[in-house]
Amino acid sequence: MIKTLRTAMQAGVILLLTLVQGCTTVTIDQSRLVQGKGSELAAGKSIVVVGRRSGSEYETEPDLVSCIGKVLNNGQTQVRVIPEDVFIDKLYPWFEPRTAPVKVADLFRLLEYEELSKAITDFDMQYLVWVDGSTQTVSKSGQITCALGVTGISCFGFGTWDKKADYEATIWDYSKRKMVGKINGTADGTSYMPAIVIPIPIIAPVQDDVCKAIGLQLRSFFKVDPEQQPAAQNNTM
Amino acid sequence: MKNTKRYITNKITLGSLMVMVVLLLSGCATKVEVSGNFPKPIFHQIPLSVGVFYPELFSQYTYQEANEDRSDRTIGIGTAQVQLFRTILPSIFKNVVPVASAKSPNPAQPIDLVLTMAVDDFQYTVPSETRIDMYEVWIKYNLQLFDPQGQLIADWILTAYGKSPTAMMKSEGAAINEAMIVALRDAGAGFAMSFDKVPEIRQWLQRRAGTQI
Repeated sequence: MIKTLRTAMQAGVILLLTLVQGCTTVTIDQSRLVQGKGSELAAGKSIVVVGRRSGSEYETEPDLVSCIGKVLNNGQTQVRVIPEDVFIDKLYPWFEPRTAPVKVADLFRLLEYEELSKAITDFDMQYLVWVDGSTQTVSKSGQITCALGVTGISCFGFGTWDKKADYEATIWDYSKRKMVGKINGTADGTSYMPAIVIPIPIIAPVQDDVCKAIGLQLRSFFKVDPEQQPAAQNNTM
Repeated sequence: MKNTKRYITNKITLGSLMVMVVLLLSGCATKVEVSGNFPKPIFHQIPLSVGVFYPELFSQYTYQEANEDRSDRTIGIGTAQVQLFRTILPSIFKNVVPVASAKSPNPAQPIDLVLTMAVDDFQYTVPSETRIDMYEVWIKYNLQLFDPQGQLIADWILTAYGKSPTAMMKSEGAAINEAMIVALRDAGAGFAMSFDKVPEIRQWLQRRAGTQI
């Protein structure tokens, strides 16, 4: 009897883990506008990852931008990634939502300001990666009710929600003064919240997964790890 | 023994109720005193000595929600917006001097102009009102520029906008603060970019340049 119960519990835990890990689908598309070694990161040069914040109905999350920077920096070969807030603060007010350059030509027009040009040169930047997009909850269903009893609050029910992440990373080569590529990352995931006395959230890490995928693809794009083969790919995580 | 048990049960019930009441109350009222850091701007310094007067209504500006259909929210902006202007103005003008009044400044050193400002309007929205996962704020400033004799030179409007996405474990207060900092940075950017493009100021600068030649 105890053995059967234990087996059932183990199966339950495995099922739960399967649900947690099996609920996010990530798709990455890459377009490279330069061939061969054209997008290699030069030794000692740095990369800046910045979020676009000009969309009226969404906001590229700072957490996502910082996460991509961390993934980009985390591998066999160290990559110098300038944190977004450091870059934007140093160049204030030229990279604010209303003033940020939209096209490569706009950036180089800004460089006519000597002080601004010097501040950017000090970063020793080779690539500027603009990330635009957001993670949204697309649908919700289920119901959880909570009641106050003698022993405290207890809940019962089941809730589920779907999230969709959709981001585009546009890569500008600062030294060549042109756009060299784009990476599109989308992810879909379903989260669950069963509640038996206490709610147990089983979250699909949609934003984290798309961040990892874009970060790794950027490493591949910049040919940071020699063994990686850059290619457009579809991943299911 | 029975009385002790009942006493403990009552205590637990009362405790649970109090926790519930506190949770409900904290869910309804939000009080934010906006705080953050503002960077020094990179800008062509305008060769002017400017006196700056921050009226009390500006330096202590607090938005108190008056609409009964909305939750009770108090947003203190005054300190943060003074901090913003104190940071950006010395990078925009060659010399910045605090003065006691806009129309009779009595500065400790010679000045070319006196700048003063007021909050004309403040608005915000929360995700439950707009169905988008963002907190948004709008600020409308009224700026005025006087000569040292108290004559009005320019009177113009500066608008600022900020938004902040919602996130798990982020409180409403933190989200409003983030949106406010974005809006104040936007105000700073707007001021720096537009100051010498205001027609009256441009004309004044041209007249001054002509006189100096």
